[in-house]
Amino acid sequence: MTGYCRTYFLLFLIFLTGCARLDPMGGGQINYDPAERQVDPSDVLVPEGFKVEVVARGLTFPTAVVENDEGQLFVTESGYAYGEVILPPKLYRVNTSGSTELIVEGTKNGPWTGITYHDGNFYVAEGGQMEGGKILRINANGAVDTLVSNLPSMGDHHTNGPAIKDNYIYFGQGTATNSAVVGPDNASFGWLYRKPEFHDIPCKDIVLKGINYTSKNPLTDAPDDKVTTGAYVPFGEATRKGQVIRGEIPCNGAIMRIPIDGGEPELVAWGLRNPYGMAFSSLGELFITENSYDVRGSRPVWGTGDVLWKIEDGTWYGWPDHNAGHEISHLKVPDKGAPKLLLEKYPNPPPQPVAKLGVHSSSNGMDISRNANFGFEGEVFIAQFGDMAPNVGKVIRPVGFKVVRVNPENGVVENFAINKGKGNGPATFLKTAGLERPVSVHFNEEGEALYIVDFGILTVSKEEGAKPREGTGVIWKITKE
Amino acid sequence: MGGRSVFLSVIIFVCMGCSSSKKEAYTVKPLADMTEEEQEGKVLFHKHCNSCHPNGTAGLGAPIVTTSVPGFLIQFQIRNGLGTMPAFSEEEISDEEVDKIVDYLKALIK
Repeated sequence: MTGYCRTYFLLFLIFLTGCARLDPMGGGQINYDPAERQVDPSDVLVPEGFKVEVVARGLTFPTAVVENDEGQLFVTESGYAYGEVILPPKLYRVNTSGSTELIVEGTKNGPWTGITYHDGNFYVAEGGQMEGGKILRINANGAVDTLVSNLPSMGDHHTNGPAIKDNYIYFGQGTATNSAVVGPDNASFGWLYRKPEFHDIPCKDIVLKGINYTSKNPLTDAPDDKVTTGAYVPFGEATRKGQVIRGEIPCNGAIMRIPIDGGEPELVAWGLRNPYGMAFSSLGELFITENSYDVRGSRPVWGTGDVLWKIEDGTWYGWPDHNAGHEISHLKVPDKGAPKLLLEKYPNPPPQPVAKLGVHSSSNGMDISRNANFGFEGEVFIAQFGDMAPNVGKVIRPVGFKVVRVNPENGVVENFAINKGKGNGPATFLKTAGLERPVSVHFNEEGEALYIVDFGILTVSKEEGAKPREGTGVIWKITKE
Repeated sequence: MGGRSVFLSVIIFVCMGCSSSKKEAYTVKPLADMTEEEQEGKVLFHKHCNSCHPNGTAGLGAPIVTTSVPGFLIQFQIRNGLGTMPAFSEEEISDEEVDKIVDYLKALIK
């Protein structure tokens, strides 16, 4: 050991014993057993001049709200939560008293991830964990039509959206995996046991470098059983250099659209890991949020922030070899090295994003301010569900658990609604009565009120995975005073 | 790693560790209250740094706005990286841009 190294080591020890507060403690889950949820608008910090109210509470995994032509509020309950909690998804009418009335109950094929309203009908993105994703049309009487089905949605990420423009329904379809290689992490999610043949499907033909990964085989009882798996193929199937994977529609990691009355999906954009939130601007531009890579599975990727994109038709956005327009091969996973690139050739140089958001923030549902009285006109409001550390990777302090606004002109991200008190995190972690896990935001028709849909308590641990708690979801409303 | 780099890394570590008990900042100065350099620094910070240090606080990375790290050490860390933080080359962030990011962070810490 050289003199410098010795000095460095000694000083580092002093640092660890004296000042150390930098240990990666993970998100809001370590040594944390949430108490019963309390709800108090005064525990939510918003800019001066804004008021916070509670619209409804006691919901089970709410994901999105929408209003009909009369301004009546409705909410979707997911029906599925990580942790393999599988319930019927539901659409409720939300009364001004905060009570709810059931409009329709879906089949156990959630999560219902989003809803929009158009010409007297609701349009719902059905995540499709069990049977594949769907876009549903629900009329005022609760009658359900399926406009498209069999979307490849039985993996890690689901069918998201939807948003409507020019008589087309746009929706997002997340990827099956973290970074294109099926691995033991997908068994932890649960789906690899149900669908061992499931894998990512590219939207157009791609050529592989033939990178393969050897992992434990959770599908057998033999403790030393190992398998080798490549990209875009089922678990246990290797790939070779130059191998062509044929593109198909529908595909994974994409924005697609169908005609308003249903029909075959058309490709809008691809190369997106989990395109979750979706909104059109007043100029007709499509903005989406993308949940970026986790540090998990056979091909973990470290240090990639979620992304806000403005979508250009026909463009590939970089997954599985890029994040926010840059190759991921320089991002070294601690103790594991950097991920190898998978594709021989890129469909196009990936574009640059509108904004980069917090690593593991789980930046989900979004909407765009369009009312000068509310303020921040043209800015994109994003609900950040919050990290699921340590299962997505470690963080020094909790990330997300709030609503941010983004100026699309310069990519600056500002807090809009956060929990009061010292530090950041879900309310039960901070022992307050504020935001828990915001999953979507929605401006009312006039644009004068912002609804925040708060999924409720969901804790994560290495030992038990995700543990969502039923009956803890809340709808908040923010208006100008 | 040279001796100078080791020394500076240690100083950065100690500065970050010792200051982490300060109250984290959640409200930042509006752009309009900043100098032109600070405003440009803010935009650059959000382009290159905000993902790991959301609004300058701790996230994947350590807090910045609650630390006592001097400007020249922030410049050093951006160029050389530290721990799991990658180094940023002059092609990614020019020297002039690094200076503006430091100006912005100093304005936040004030």
